[in-house]
Amino acid sequence: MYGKLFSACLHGINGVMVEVETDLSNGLPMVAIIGLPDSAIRESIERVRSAIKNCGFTFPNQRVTINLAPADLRKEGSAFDLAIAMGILTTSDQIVLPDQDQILLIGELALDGTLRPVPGVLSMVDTARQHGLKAVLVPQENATEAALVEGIEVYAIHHLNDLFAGSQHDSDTKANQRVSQDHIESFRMSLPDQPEIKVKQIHAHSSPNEQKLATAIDDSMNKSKKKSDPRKMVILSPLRVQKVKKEHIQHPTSSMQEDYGDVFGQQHVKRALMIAAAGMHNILLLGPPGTGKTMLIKRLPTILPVLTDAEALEVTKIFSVSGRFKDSNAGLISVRPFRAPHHSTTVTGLIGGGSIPKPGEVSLAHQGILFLDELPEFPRSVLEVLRQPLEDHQVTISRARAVFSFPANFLLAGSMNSCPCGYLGSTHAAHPCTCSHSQIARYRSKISGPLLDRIDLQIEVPRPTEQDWQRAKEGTEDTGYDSASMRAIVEQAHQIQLNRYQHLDIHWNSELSGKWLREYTFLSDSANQLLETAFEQLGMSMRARDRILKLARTIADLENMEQIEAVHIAEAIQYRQLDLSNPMHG
Amino acid sequence: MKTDDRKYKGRIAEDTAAYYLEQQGYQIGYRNWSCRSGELDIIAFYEGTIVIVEVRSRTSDVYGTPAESVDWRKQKQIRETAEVYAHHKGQSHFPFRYDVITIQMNHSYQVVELEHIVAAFV
Repeated sequence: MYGKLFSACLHGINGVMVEVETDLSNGLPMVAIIGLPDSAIRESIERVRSAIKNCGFTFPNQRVTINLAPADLRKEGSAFDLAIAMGILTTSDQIVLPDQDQILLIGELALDGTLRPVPGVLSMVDTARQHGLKAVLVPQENATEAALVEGIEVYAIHHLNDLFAGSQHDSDTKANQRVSQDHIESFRMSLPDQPEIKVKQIHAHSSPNEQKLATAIDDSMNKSKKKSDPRKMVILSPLRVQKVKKEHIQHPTSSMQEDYGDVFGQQHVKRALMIAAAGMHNILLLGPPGTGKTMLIKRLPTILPVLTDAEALEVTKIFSVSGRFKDSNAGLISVRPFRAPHHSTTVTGLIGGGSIPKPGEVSLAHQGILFLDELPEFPRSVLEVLRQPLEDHQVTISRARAVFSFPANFLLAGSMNSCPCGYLGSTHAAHPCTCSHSQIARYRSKISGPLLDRIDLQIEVPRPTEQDWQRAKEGTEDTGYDSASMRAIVEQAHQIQLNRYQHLDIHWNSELSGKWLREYTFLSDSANQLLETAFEQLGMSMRARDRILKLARTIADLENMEQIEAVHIAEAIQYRQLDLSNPMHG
Repeated sequence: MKTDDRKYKGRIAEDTAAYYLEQQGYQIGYRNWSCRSGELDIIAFYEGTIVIVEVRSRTSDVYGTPAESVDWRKQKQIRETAEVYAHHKGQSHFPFRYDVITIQMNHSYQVVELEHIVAAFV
C-alpha cells in the first residue's frame, strides 16, 4: 500500500517542499526512513509510534518504508512528524484525509499526540503557496504565524485527535483519547503432570482499538466484527484559522523611550546619523569615553523608515528560521532590527554557520542595524569577515552537500575611541592623551583599511564644550533635531529612493552599483571637478569614490534635489575623515 | 548449575510455552529452528500471522527479569534469524510478529508462572 503527503523543511531561510511517501508491505516488521534524514527525523518514528498508539490507532506491524523526496537534499528538524504519522494512518486505511495532495503538513508530535510548534513555519507556508497548495495544517502555536501568508488556507490543531472532532466517530474518539495501557489478561492453566500455573498475557504495543480487536478475537463468534470499515474521516473545516485583516505598518514611535531630543549638542553627528539612516550608509563614531557615541547610535532605530511589506516578510522569515519569532499575534515584524552583539562574538556567531547553517547576527540585522560597540575590541578575524557581506549584501555559506545564502543587507554602525587611552584630541586639561604614536597606530590598525573603506561616514564625537553646557543651562540651545523631525526628513528621502528605483531590485542609494550608479548620480560640472580633484589628491580607492558618489546622492535626496552639487560632494568627502587623515598629526 | 541442568531447564520452559501456545489456538510450525545467524525457539502460526517466539526462563529474581534479558542485541539477532527463515521458507510476504514468553520455575524445575508478551518488539 502506498500513500503520499506533503511536508516541508528549511533550506537557508527558504522552505523546500518535501514529499513524504509511505509504503506498507507484509514481511518482517521494520521501519525504514530514507531520503537523507538527520537524527531528529530518524527518531521521529518513535514519537510517531507512541502518538499513533495513544490516539487510539494501531501502528502497522508491517514493513514500513518512508521516503522523503527529493532524496538528495539533507533534511533536518522535527517538522516531518505530523506528515509521517498522517502518512502511516492514511496508508494503513485507518483514516481518510480529503484532498491530501493539496495540503501541507507541518508539526512535531509529542508522545501523547499533542502537536508542538516548529521554527520556520512562515518560510515553509510561503513555499507551499508558491507551489500552489491550497491549505496547510500546523500546530496551534504556529497558527498565527502561518496565517500571515496570504492566499492559502490555514488549519491548526492542538492534538492529533482534533482532526476527528467533527466526525461521526466523535464519542468513540473521545473515549479513546489518551487511554493507553498495556492490555493484560490473567488466567490459570493446568499442565500435564505438573501443578496448575498462572498465565499472564501482555499486549505490549496494543492500543484501545486493538484491545477491542483482541477481545473480539477471543470471542470467536464476533470475528466478523473486525471487518467493518473502521476508517475515520478527517474534517478540517472546524479547524480553520481566521486571518487577521492586515493593517498598514505603523511606525511604533510611541513605544520608543529614546529620542534624539534627549541629546544636546552634537548637531553634526545627528546630521551624519540622519544621512546614514536615509541611505543605509555605514557609520563609525569616534571619540573620548562618555561623549554619547553609544547613546547616539542606540537612538538610530527611532529615525529609520518603517519596513515595506516585502522587507517585513523577509525579516520575519529570518527571525522565524532562527527560532526567534515568538510573538506572531502582532503580525509581521515591522520594526527594523537592531542587533548589538558583544565583542566576544565568534565568526560563526556573526555571519552564521554550523553544520546545518543558521543565520548569524549580520542576517538577523538584515534591513536594520548591526551595531558593533567598541569596534577595535572585536577580534580582527571577526571584523574581516564583514567585508564580503558589506559589499554583496548577502552571506553565502558552502557545505559539501549544499550552498546556503542568507540575506545580509544591514547598516553597520560602529563606535570606537580615537586611541587606547581614549582621550586623543581632548581639549580638556584634566584628560590629556597619554598614548605614544606607535600605540595609536597599533590601535587603529585593528580596523583594517579595506573595512574602513566600506564605512562611508566616520565622525568625531567630541566632549561638549563649556559653551555647550552654558547654552543648555540657559535653555537657549537649539536642540535642533528630535527623532520625529529627523524621521520625517529620512522618510521623505527614502520615498524619493523608492520611487527612483521602483523598477530595480534595490531600495537604497547604498545598494547602487556599476551602471545604475552612473545612471542615477547626476553631477553638476563643479561637483564633478571637485570629485576628480579629491580623488587624485587624497589618493582615494575606486570603491571610496563610488561610495562618496552614493553618499552624495543621499545628501542631495535629503534636500530633495535631483542633481548633485559640489556642496553635497564636499560634505560626503569630509565624512571620510579617518581613512583620509593621518592619526600621527592628530 | 551444570550445563545439563540448564539444558533441562530450557527444555521444560520451551515445552511449557509450546503447550500453552497450542492451548491458545496457535499452530506450532517449528521448534528450535536454527541457522548460522542463530536459533528461533518457536515459530508458530496464528490467524495468518507468523509468530516468532523467544522463550526465557528463570528460577530466581536475583539476576533481573527474563524479559529484561531480551535486550537490543538479542532482538537484533532474532530479527536477523527471522529474516533468514522467511527467505529460506519463501514466506516473506506474510505478516510477522515477535512475541516473548517468560517462564518462572521453582528450584525443583516446576513451572509456577507463565507470561506471554504479545508483539514484544518490532
